[in-house]
Amino acid sequence: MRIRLGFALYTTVVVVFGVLTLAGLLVGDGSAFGDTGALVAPLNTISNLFIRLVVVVIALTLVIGIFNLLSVHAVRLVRGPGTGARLNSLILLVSFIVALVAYQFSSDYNLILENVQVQIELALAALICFALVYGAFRLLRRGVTWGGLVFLAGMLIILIGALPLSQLEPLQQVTDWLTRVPLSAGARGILLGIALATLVTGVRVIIGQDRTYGNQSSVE
Amino acid sequence: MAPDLQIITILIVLFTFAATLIIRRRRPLPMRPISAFEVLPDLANESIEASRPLHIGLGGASLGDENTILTLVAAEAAYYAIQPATVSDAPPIVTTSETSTLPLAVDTLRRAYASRGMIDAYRGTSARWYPAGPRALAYSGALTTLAGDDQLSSHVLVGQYGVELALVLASASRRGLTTIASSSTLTGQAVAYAMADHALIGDELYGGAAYLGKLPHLANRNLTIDLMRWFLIVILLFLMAYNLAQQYGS
Repeated sequence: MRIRLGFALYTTVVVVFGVLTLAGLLVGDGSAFGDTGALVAPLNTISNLFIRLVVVVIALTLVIGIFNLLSVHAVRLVRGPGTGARLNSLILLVSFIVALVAYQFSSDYNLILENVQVQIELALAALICFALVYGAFRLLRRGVTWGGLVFLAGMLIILIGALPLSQLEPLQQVTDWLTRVPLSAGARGILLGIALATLVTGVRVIIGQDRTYGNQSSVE
Repeated sequence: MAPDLQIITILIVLFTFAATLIIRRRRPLPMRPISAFEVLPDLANESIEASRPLHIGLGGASLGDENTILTLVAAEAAYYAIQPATVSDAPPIVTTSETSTLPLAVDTLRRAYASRGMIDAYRGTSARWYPAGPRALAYSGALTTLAGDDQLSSHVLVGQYGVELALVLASASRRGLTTIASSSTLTGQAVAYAMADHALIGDELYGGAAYLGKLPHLANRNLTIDLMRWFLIVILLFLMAYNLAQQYGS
């Protein structure tokens, strides 16, 4: 297999930094290793240094994000696919400039954020309820499956059980049991599956078996 | 971290290292069908035929925190989704609400175009950052308008989403767009299951590379995850039996 120099370099950097950071985080201050703890403790200092570097780099990506936002919408304003797209991009660019200027005049009171952004987000949050009802309706329209029926039955029992009516006390007990036993077990199962997959994929990335960078996706 | 927990964590990581190094099958085992991965290549074809862009949303998946691996896996799935769609007149669009993911989104797009020898057709503005806002609602609001403004052909939403995913999926459904959705959060997964045309539940997204890449060695990751899962099940059953024996034996 032909391996390019740049690609080998990427892999080496990932493996070295990944192994050192993981080892540093795992050994901690070395107290769990008794007498040999003092020998492995410097790994923790190195991993902390790497993590601090990552934090600085991530903070810098905000600048990249703002540049991307402005350039994408400037291009859309000129060559947008339609009037709606151009208008939306124009509103975004004007809002950006207005927010920037307004902040210069009054940095304590963020007029646009508090009076426009938050209000619109609250309206959107209210719409989510209708979107979820629409989703439940759509689940019924898609056809009857066992999974769909269980999902709907569970949802209805929990919703009705949440009503503060004394007549519904037996149903509330069913709701409590559903939440405590099957729902909790299912949620833990899903989360354990995700955790295992994350662990395996992370290890494969660190040892260079999975490569989501360079020009090859994965090589063994 | 408590010393005993630290030792257990180290043992789990070492075991995973060993399993990853040992499992190297040249011929992949058959994999169960997952509708989202079966339909994904068709979405690229639809995008090409309709000259409408395919949208891949990475949501709130970000690098540098506990979602780092999820972000890499989502970008990997995005790469395979974008690759066939690069020949479309309407270039695929990748969006994210996290600035840390933006360089990864740009690189994923660039790699997909480069892999098809079409780097000249690559446009940097196809990777977009939409700020999430305090409750990620600004991002979902942006995606609902994106579907109309850019005349999207379908949504592939892989990454981190919460209940706000309902807004995007409801809007997509009204417009008749095909949707594939997945989330690292349980709330997002529930919404995806109820509202998306094809949902990826639990760790299914992590196996995507093997389904989409169609390269034998990519299946080794899935095999390792499956083996680790069975190992965990055996340990859980053993612990349960031990506890029962303790409870009823005394």
